[in-house]
Amino acid sequence: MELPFEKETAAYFKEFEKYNRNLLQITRTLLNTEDVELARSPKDLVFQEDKLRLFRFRPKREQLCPVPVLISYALVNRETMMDLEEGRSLINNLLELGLDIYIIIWGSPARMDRFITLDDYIDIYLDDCVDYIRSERRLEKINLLGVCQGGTFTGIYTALHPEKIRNLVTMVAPFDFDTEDGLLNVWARHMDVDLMVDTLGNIPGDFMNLGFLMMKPFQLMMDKYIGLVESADDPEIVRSFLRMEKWIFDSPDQAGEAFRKFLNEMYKKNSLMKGELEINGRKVDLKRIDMPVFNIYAEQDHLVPPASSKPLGRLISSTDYTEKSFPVGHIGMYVSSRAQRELSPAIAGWLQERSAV
Amino acid sequence: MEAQAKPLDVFSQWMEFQKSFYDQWLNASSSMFKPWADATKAWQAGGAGSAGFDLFAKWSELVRGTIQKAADGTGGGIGPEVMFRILRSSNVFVLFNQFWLEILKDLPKLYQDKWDEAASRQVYERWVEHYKKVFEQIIGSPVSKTAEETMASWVNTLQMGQSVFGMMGAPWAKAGPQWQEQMARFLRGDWSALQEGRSLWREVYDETLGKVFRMPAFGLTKEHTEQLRRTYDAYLQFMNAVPGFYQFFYKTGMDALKEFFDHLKHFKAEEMTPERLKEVYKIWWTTNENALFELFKKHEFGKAMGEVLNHGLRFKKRLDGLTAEWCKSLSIPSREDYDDLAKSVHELRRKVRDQQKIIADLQKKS
Repeated sequence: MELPFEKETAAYFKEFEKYNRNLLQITRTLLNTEDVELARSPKDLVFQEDKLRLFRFRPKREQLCPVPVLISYALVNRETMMDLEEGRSLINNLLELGLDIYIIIWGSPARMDRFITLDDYIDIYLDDCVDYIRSERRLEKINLLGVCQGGTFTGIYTALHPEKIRNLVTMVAPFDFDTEDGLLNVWARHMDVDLMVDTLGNIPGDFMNLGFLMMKPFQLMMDKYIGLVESADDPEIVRSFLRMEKWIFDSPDQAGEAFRKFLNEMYKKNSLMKGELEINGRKVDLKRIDMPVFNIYAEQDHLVPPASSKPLGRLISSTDYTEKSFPVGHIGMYVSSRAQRELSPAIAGWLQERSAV
Repeated sequence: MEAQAKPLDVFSQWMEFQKSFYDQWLNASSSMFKPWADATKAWQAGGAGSAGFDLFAKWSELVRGTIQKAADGTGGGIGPEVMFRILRSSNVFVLFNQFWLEILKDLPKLYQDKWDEAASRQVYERWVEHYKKVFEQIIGSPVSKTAEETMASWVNTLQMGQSVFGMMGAPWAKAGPQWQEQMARFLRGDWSALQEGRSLWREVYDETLGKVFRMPAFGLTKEHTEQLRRTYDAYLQFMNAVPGFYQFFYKTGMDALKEFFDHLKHFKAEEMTPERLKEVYKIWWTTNENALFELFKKHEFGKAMGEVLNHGLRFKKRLDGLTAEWCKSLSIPSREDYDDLAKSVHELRRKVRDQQKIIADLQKKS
């Protein structure tokens, strides 16, 4: 004879058993994992200046695009997200599609670097990398791909040096900061950035991380860990999780002066949109961007909302402007299966079409 | 015999007076702590009872009457005159005691009005009037002009002391009832009361302690004292800003919880399989997440967060300054030294880069 609730109790016990089995599996995987590696696509250091390093990826096949592309990632977090792991690597996909890729690694600013300015990053470091590639490859112009804050940098840079850029690709890049859609946009308005930089010098990476975690506290600080236990019977899933975790919490500090100008000029004054931003004493006029531009944004981006990315199209003078969105979030742009399938071919195809020598 | 019995009666009354005087003293002292006594009345067995000031007044009348009757009843001659003088000298003693009793009587009032300059001054002036009266009653002529000036000066001095006391204490005392009312509202679930209470605290603090912490110091330790005071000031302001930030989370959490329970109404206990429980968990965290997301988008939240952050930074900046001051005697470089060095290195890097570019261009041309 079955007692009342006997079936339900059995179901709970089974669930509890499964949960414990998964916990044990995670423990085994963790005990047998010393570290996980990110950004494993082979690359060579080709140029160095202060802490900046410029790498060139080794080709995976014959190059179908004769003009190399220089990737500029954000100063926040690291470019390793673009080459997270096999099967989830935008870089690898682009290499497979025959692109010749250079990437800037900005490095980790120490206390000694707190006076590096936004002008230095854009008009010195980025410019030196572009010049290096142009000189090495004997090309007048190269392709530029800017990601997130790096996309804003490449937009500014291209407006200052349009003669050096053949095509510009921006990915989840903010241009209009006067929007209510992004939490960063709302929060930044109430921060005394000058006080922050004067007090802290460099802005700690953990401070930035805390801000990002706060945007989705339950998901990022609780549910994702519970979710890991739910689906951890595969050690590769645990390792994949660890890679993502490593990327999230490996955040470099932000050079104080660069942070000050970026926050004050962009988030508080929206100077770039208004045509009032000055870099090394020169006004940045986005209308000077007259080469082909490909602007990619994420529809569910809570860090860089579409309202912040899309206005680029009406600020430039280019007659060849393409816009493409993906139904993913900010991070999903690099790691989601849909982005893996569609993003790389879209970028590679667009560049190849416009890079004939 | 009757005449002899009268002074004895006065003596026994005098004993009563001593007792009454002691009671009054106790009563005055307990009145000074009346606010506390009131607040803790519920725990007191019989309250703060007293014999009452009218007892002395009645007794005083009785003494006067007795003396008068004794004087009237003794007839003329040297004996009655001596008796009358003896009795009158005891009256002098009574007048002094009466004077001190009047002073004591005002002490609770002075305590009650300690933050109120005008009311306190009225008490001091009343004391002067009592003194003048007793002086005239005993000596037989009014106080001199010089004595009046001295007393005026004394009242002014007391008044000035009271002004300083009032400046610091009055705003806190005035705010007290408002805080009580705000606390009561907050406990009933009115979250705006917390914000009002904080704003009021800030207002009162800025008016009182804040001014003390920000005012210039003197002497050998001037610099250090000022740094220390300003660090306290920054810390207190930071601590005041923290609840303003967290209140948003409390309120949003409560609202989200209510919403979560509304969702739960559709679940039946007998259907609670592990899968259904997972659904409940998902509803719980997504409800909270969505509620927080809506909260984070609000400018009031951004403002409160900015306030906490900015106050925290100000406090840190002050503390860093203080630490640097304390570490001056050690042979280690300060943050400022590092920054100077970093700036110089940065400028040199830029100069070297520019010169290298110029050299490279020249080499290309040659």
